[in-house]
Amino acid sequence: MHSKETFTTFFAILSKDIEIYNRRWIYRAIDALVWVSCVLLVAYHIMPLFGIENRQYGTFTLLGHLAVWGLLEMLTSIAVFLSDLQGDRTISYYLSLPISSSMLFIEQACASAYKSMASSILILPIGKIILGNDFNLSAINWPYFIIAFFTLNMFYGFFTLFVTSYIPDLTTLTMVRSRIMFPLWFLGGCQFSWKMLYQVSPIAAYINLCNPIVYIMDGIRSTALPTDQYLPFWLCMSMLVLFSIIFGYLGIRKLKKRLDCI
Amino acid sequence: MPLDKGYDMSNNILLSIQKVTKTFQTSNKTIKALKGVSLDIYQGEILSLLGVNGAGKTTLSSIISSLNPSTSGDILYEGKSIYKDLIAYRKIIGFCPQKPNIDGMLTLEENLYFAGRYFNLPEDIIKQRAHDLMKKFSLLQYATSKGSILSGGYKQRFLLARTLMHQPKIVILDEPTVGLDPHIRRNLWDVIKELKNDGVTVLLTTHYLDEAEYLSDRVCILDKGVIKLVDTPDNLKTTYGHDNLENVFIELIKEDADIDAQ
Repeated sequence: MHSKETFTTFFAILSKDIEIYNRRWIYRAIDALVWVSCVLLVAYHIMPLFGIENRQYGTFTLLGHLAVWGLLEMLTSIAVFLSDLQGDRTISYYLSLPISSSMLFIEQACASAYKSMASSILILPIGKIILGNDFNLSAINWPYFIIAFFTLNMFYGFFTLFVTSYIPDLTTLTMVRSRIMFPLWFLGGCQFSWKMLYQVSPIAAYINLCNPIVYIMDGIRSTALPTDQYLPFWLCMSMLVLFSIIFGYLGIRKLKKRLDCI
Repeated sequence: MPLDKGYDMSNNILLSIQKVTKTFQTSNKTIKALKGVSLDIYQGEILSLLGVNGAGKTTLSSIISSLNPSTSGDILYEGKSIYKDLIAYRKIIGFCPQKPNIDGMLTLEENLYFAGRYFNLPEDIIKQRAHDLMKKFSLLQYATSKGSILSGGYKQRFLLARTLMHQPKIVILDEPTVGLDPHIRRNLWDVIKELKNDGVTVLLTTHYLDEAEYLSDRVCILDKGVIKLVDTPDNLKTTYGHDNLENVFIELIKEDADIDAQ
């Protein structure tokens, strides 16, 4: 009945969140660049000195870290949300606006997605500078890359809602890093693709299909590296959409209960 | 049934709170914060909710402002349940919380600009309203300052300005003058009186009985989740033979404590 008004409020809150984030964007972008630069310098320039050399490994690592930046950005979003709950509760103001609480939480997910997209976008050009000709921009399937980049960051947005809803306070935030983010990332294809794992342990590979990060890693890598070495692109995107819906639904339900909102 | 005496405006009911209950579940006990509260709020009046800590004032104002759902009961706005069209209801209310939940990263004028956009106001109206409200609340000198640098009194003035941005019909103020200097309190009182003159209905939650006495057309005294009485300050003073509301309140609370002791 009020869909137009609700969307107006939705986009007004989103543009406010984007406006605020853009003022601090450079700091987060520098964080991402420092992190990726260190990883690439070691993977591409130092490891070959030890005899470990694979021309594709730089691109493999670059795309993996570009894709996983949103997972690290989650920690900031969760901390901001929890500190607000424990502090001034600006969320109460937004919950009194003409928008449903579910839509407000979806807006929060979209804002988180925007933050991880914005802060990680410079990773690609810096990767090109470090990797030089071994990172071939013309080999990237750009439409697929953009779809993957958008989808995986939306996933992080909804996953942020889900994780936030289960974290009681700021003191338990380190648990998110050590018990959730790191295992998902490191077991989810940080150093290998799903097909590489399948070749050595099919059972482990099938179990790993429950990890959404697998689809993120294989999905983004398949846009720039030989597709036969990775899970099919559209399977990865479909699974990410499915995981986004599941985590979004569970997160919103739990947050509504936790904040006792209508 | 509302325990309402001496203020017959029954043809002018704006909000009707009907048998509202609120129960909170904690890990080891159930707390009944509101036990079937019924109350009519009239168009253009200032109604104060009074009570000791834990009486249910903030719980009731949070339910009326649609931040939290009631466990049972209903709230009718112009005869219709607010829950049937929550978005429409939220467009006509303005909630001013106790905690100064201002977006500290935005300047005051930006905060007001977005407050207007959340309600889909046209740009020219937003600019005019923002300027008028900042002038009214003596905030023009801080228009380009961030909300986070304001002192408590200015934050509270700003919250009220933000609440009024979309010209709500009902303003819900949750302890708006807590911790403010006397002259700033007086200044806010004048503003609240002006709201009434403009035809706005004000629901005021307060601990300060002098404030309630000065501002209110009626006061509603809550105790342990039930309405003890609703009446005009003058009627209460006459009935209980006191010259101020504070003494009436103390007598009422003492009566209750005596009954409990027996």
